[in-house]
This record gives sequence, C-alpha cells and structure tokens, in this order.
Amino acid sequence: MQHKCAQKSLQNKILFCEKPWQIPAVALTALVVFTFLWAFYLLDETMEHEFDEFSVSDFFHPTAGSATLQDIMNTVPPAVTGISGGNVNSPALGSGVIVSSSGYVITALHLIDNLDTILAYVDTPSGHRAIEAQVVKSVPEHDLVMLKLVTTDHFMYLRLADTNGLQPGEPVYAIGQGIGSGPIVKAGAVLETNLSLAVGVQNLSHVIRTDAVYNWAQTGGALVNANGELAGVNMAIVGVSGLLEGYALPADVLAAHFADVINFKPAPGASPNPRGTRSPGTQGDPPLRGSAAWWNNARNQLAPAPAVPPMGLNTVMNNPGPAGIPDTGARTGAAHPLGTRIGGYRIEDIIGLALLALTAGVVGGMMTMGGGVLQVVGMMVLFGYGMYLIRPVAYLTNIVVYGAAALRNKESGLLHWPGIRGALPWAVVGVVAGYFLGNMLEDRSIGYILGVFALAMGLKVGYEMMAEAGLGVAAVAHGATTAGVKRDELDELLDPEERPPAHLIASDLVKHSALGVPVGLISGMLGISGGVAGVPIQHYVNGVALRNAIANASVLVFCASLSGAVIAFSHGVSAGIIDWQAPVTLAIVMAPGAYVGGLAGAKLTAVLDQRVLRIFYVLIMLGVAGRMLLGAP
Amino acid sequence: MRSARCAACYNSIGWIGLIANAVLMLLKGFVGLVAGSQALVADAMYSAKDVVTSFLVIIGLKVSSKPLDREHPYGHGKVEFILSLLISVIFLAVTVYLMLHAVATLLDDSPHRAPHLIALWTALLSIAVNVSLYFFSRCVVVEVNSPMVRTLAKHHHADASASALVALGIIGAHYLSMPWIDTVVALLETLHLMYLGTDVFIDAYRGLMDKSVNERKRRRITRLVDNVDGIDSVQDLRARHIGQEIWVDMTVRVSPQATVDEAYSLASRVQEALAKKVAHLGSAQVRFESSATAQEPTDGDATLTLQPE
Repeated sequence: MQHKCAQKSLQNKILFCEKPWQIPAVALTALVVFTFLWAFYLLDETMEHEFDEFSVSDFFHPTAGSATLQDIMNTVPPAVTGISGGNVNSPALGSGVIVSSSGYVITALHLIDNLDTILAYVDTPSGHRAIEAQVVKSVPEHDLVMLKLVTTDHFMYLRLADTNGLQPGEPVYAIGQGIGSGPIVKAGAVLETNLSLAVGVQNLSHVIRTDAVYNWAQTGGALVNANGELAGVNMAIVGVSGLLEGYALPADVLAAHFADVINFKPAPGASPNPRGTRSPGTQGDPPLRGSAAWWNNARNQLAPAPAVPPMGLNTVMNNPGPAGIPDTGARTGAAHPLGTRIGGYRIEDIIGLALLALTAGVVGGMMTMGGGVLQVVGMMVLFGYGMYLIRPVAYLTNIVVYGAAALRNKESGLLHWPGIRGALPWAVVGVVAGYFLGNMLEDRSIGYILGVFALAMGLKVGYEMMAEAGLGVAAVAHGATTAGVKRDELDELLDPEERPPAHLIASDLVKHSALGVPVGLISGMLGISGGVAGVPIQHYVNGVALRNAIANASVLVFCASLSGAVIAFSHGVSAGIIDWQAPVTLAIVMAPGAYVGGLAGAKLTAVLDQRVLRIFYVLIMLGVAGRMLLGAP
Repeated sequence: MRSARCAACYNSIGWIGLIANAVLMLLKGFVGLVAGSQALVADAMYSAKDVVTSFLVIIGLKVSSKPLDREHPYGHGKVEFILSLLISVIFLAVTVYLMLHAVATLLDDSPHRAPHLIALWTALLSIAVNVSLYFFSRCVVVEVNSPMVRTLAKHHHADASASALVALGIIGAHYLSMPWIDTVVALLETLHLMYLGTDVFIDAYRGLMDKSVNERKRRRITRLVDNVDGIDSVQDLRARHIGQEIWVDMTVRVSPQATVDEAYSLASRVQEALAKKVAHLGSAQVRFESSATAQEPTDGDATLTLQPE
C-alpha cells in the first residue's frame, strides 16, 4: 500500500479546495447524525421489547372470542393499584392504573391532592406491596396525574386502547382496588362519549360516561375494553341527581397529556377503528393544554368562533360537522393515533417549552437573575411537571447556559480562580444536599420557596428603582448579565475591576463554605441557578466586584449543575424515580432556547430603556410570587 | 504546493481525521452493539486505533518538544513509549476480549442471528467517510508531500477496506442466509487488529529497552560518517530511538598525527553531517580515538561520559 500511494501521488485529479466539498461534508455529517438517531430509536425499541411480556394485554386470552368478567379478573388486576396517603395502614382512597412497565401510574389528581406522601398498593409476584410514588406530571384540567413508583422493579401494565372511534354501547370493565386488598370489577357499557362536565369549579371535557363505574374506590382505576386494553381512567362523580355516576377519561386524553413522559405504544393488532365506522365530529381533537391551548386560543381568535364553550375545544363538539366528512388524516392511522408528534411531544408543546426557555433566558440575561425561577415555575404551572422531572431538566439546561457563560467569562478574564477553587467543593456538597433535600420536600413547599425567591427578587429590583428615583443616581448595581456581556459603565466606575477582599471577616474555610454551600443548595434543591445567592454573597460579604462575582458564580453554577445532573441521573435512575429519557428530551428542547434567550437578553439590556425593563421585571416576579404563594398550585 | 490553501488543509487534516475517527468509533461501536453485529464493533476498533495513534502523535510532539530540564537531562521522549505501551496493552485487551467473544459465539450451538440492517448502513457510511477522507488526505499528500499525512491516508484506506469487509459480511449474513459470517468477519478483523496492536506494543517495548535503530539506518549513518574527510573509520556506533527522535553515540578513529584541536573539529564536522542528513536527530555524541593507539583514548566533544572499553 505504501507503494500505491507513492505511485498515485504523481497526478492529482481531485483538488478538494477547488470542488464544492462542503456539500458532501455536510451530507455525510447529516447521515452520521441520522444513523445515531436511528440507533437510539432501535435501542429504545429493543428495550421496550424486553419488557413487553409485562403488558397485561398480552396475557389476555378471552374465552370463545368474547371477554368475560372472569377473563378480566384473571389478568388485569396486577396493573391496577390502590392509592393511599400517609402510613402503610391508612385505607385506600382510590385506585390507579400502571401504564408502563417501569412503574408509571395514572390516577385522579384530586385523590392525591392533599397527600404528603403517596403510597401505591401493587399486586406483585412477591405479594401485595405498598410502594411510594412521586408526582411526575399533573393535569388539573382533566383531574389527572401521573405518578412514578419509586422503584426500579418492573410491573405489569395496561396498553392504551385507541378510543378515537369509541362508540356508545361498547362493553367495558371498570376495575379498582377495593377497601380490602382485593380488586373490584364491574362490567358495563359505554353510555355516552365526549361529554363536558362541570364538576365543582372545574370543567372536564372529552369524558366518557359508563355504568361500569359504580363505586368511589374505582376512581383512578382502569376502564378496560374487550381486548384487555386501557380505554380510560375511572371517575366516580356525584351527579346532578345526587347519585353516584360513573365516568371515565378516555385513553386518547391520557396519551395526549402523558406521551411526553412515557412512550405509549399502540396495542399490537388493535384496530384503530374496531367498528369500521366513525362518525365525524362526535370526537373532539385530543384536548390541549399549556402552550398548545394557548396556540389554539390564538387560532380561534383569528377564525371566528361560533360559540363560546366552557373549554376551548368543545367548539368541535358543539358544532358537529356534516356527516360524511372524513376525519383528518393525521389521527386515523394506527401508527399515529396521537397526531403529529416529535419524541412524544406535540409540536405546539415543543414550541411552548422552547418559548418558555427563551423567555426565561431573556429575563435571566437582562437582569442576571430570575430566569431560572421563571423556567422552573413555568414548567410547574403551565406544563404541570413535578419537581422530580424538572430538577434534572434544570440541571441539564444550566450546564449548557452557564457552561457557555463561564467560558465567555474565562476568555474575558473575569474569573477569580482562588475564590472559585475554594468554593467549588462546597458547591458540590451543597448541590448533593440540595438534591436530596428537594426530594424530601413536597412540590408545594418547593413552590412556596420559589415564590419567596421571586418576591425577594422583585422587591430588590423594585427597591433599587425607588432608590434611584430618589437619589437620581444609578447607585445600585444592576444591568450586568449572567451571560456576562454588558454592564453599566457607571458600575465600572464604582466597582474597580480587582478589589482585594475588603471585609475579610473570617477564615477562608468559612468564606468558601459560606459562598459554595448556598449556591449549591439552591441549584440542587430548586433547579434555579444559585447565582441568586452567590452574587450577593460575593459582592456584599466578600467584597468582590459585581462583574467578577457574576463571572465566578457562573463557574460555580456550572459545576454545581454538572454534579447535580450526575447525582440526579445516577440516583434517580437507580432508585427508580425517573427514567433518563424524559428529562433529556425536555432539556434538548429547552436548552437552546435558554441559551439563545440569555444572549438576546444580554443584548437587549443595552438597547432597551432600563426603567421600562425593570418595571416589567418587577411585575413578572411579583406575578410569579403571587401565583406560587397565594394561588393554589 | 499549489496554493496557500494547501497549508490550511495540511494544518487541519490531522484534527479532521481525529474527529472523524472519534465519531466513527462511537457510531460503529454503538450501532454494532444495538444491531448485534460483532464485526461492526470490531471495526470500531480500527477507528479507535486511529484516534489513539493521532493522540499519541500529538502528545508525543508536545512532550518531546519540551526542553530538557535538570531532572530530565535526557529529555522527555520516553513518555511516548510508556504511553504507547499502556495504550497498546489496553487496546490488545479489548481486542482479545472481542476475539474470544467471537470465538465463543462461533462455537456456541444456539442459532446465529443476522445483525439488524442498520449495521450494513453504518458500514457503508463508514466506507463513504473513510474514502472521502482518503481522497482528501491524498490531495494533501500530493500537494505537500508530508510523510505523516501519507500514513494518515494509508490508515483511511485501510479503514475503508475493513468497513467494506464488514459490509460484505452483513450482506452475506442477511441475504445469503449465513448469519455466522458476521462473526467470522469479526474474528478476522480482531486477528488483524491484534497483529497491528502487537506491532505498537513491540515498538514501545523496544524503545524502552533502548533497542538499536534498524540495520539500514545504522549502515546509512556509518556511510555518512565514513564520507567525512579525515575520519579513518567508525569504531563504535550506538543509535536508539527516544520518542520520535534518534539519539546517536559513536566513536570515530582519526589519524594519530592529528592534534586534539583537529580531532575535535573533525568530531564536530561529523555531528554537523549527521544533523544535516539524518531526519529527527535528537542528539549526537561523537568521541574520537587514534587509529594507532586505541588503548589511549582522548576524550573529544564536551561529554563527560567515560568510554565503555
């Protein structure tokens, strides 16, 4: 081969720099990326297949073609859990349905609303077990919540049925955990579909009515169709007559809400349209929420809406289209029962999440703080995710955003290494403590803490504005950015670049831990950047110049987030709190927005009027604080 | 060199090759595991080898160029050998593991399963990338004529061939219903890799043991020195590799009539000749002795080393 090269080198037919080499290069890169994605997809597939035998529906062999109550009794109960709170002896409040082999449970939100700890009672091969569960995502509009059993065990689960073409009259079976440890089952039929109910102060849409649900204990339990698939989640509701009426939220609603957390597979061999008919218009689109609902509202406002329904989407239901018009193609195929989705997300949701990250990034970039709070609160309130899911996402996003900021700060020479080096170990200690502390606290408490932070930030900036208005001088530090780009010239005059620590009060140990631990703790517990604490501590206590303080904090937050992510994923996966896929996907959606937002925010500070900006900022923060402290989350 | 742009290519080609190989290594390893193709995993080791070699070259250049210091009066060249030794041991261990796995699979009674077709696709992609890189580096070779880039081109060529073998194996496994052939390809590739890895290992080992440079180089050096006017003969020649450099110690015989000054300047001329003609010369120590009285040596050069005899 050596000789071959030497001989060939006589002539050179392809001169790379004279040919358009960029196109093949880009094409090859794209193909490599594509292959990686394909392989990840395959990996996902094979992992699913490994646990396929856990699906209850696979064990379901209806006798003589039609299912009997006994067939259901023999197969489904392991996938239905009892739900209770408090200690092991407290009675079951209702039921839940396991929808994934790794232990994701869907149940009714009102069941667990006021519980400190949630216990799920599951039939396992090793007997009836009480397993702790954590909220992954709550959906108040449909009174639904997804829990994760905190364990790495695998469970029997129910596949989702396609309820798009569900017709009144179809046989269904409602299963729940009884007062004792045994299941209760009742056969019945679908009575009505696509109802809208007003329950208390709440409107539920897309509800199925069924006589199979007759008992409170069935609430949150499974409504199973004749194929042994999950047709819906039961809701026992006191009707207008004062009697208990049976309802269920259909599987399509479940899929629409939770497909971003777990990957629902269409049941094998399940016909998307068992009756071969479909009455157009009687089924609404899958319900929308969060940003998707916002987009829909915007669309409805552009197009004249015929009536004002209680929930945005019932327009479709109230105005059934003329018979014979086929449904939109997207949802008819078995492969796409949930509409167009990317990685389980509706496109609207992806845009919504990215927009949230962008907004948070802009706010953080402009005011150096508050972006993280906005992102975490937004994910909690607008998208209903639980802190267990938010925390790792926030760590990952912070790694990207603050990693970039730290790099920029390093290049501009703003970092003060001795201080960082001392505080780093403490920050890591803090983040570990914060992560476990945050896991112990309820989401509601975390919400309060976030609210307090938002309030403090809003008040601080508000106070600064007042002070400035009073003094007529920009005496208070502001305007520098976490992204480390711009800053008021006045500040530079007031704060010399490198000031020796003036108020060196105590030993280095105290100083370093006093800086590192709060930064880590806040980053770890709340998933917001610990710069909120780190910058003021450095600036006011240790006497570091503001822009150096911000630069140092960016490194600390980066390292804290990095170790937080390592802890969250290793502990979360090994303890069965999370799967790695959902947070990683969320972070992939959000990180670019946060990054771009940070840059844009930093640029905007220089362009826009500071006063207006700060008024907006104060309003946003006070709004967030009000929502978290006063409004019932 | 056709244009200034060639310099740009020359400077970047090492890094491009390194990154491309690193990506290919990850891709082939990952896909090989997912698709169940042992041959593709073995093929990933080819890319791994290139990545490792590139790294060694970079580290070698960095370390070797470090100036001598008080603690390392002979330089830092041997770090490269130590690294090579370590890495080649790891590399051999992984390769042996893959080979044993392939053998175990072949001997196993359970039916073989053809790998998923993504493996074929990845092998083809690997061929495409390596062929492009081969032509790219060849372009640089022709224009710049660098031996290092020539080696690089050779590696890309070899990698493309290896991937082609894998692709053929998977085609055979899939379309000719010979699922075991994928494992056979894996076995062949691991054997070849072990051969390559052993080469690196032996090189490193020899370097650490101060093995002499090969006979061709020895003869060349002897001839060079013989051609210097005033040198009667080369009495003693010791030459070894330290890192990428060649270190030479030699004793030459000069005429007994020569004064010490003359002998000294002769020795210096020998040094100059060596420095001019021997590539990567790290150091040359030249001592001289009289052609007549070899028993009474005079130390030339600024060395304090005692003569071995």
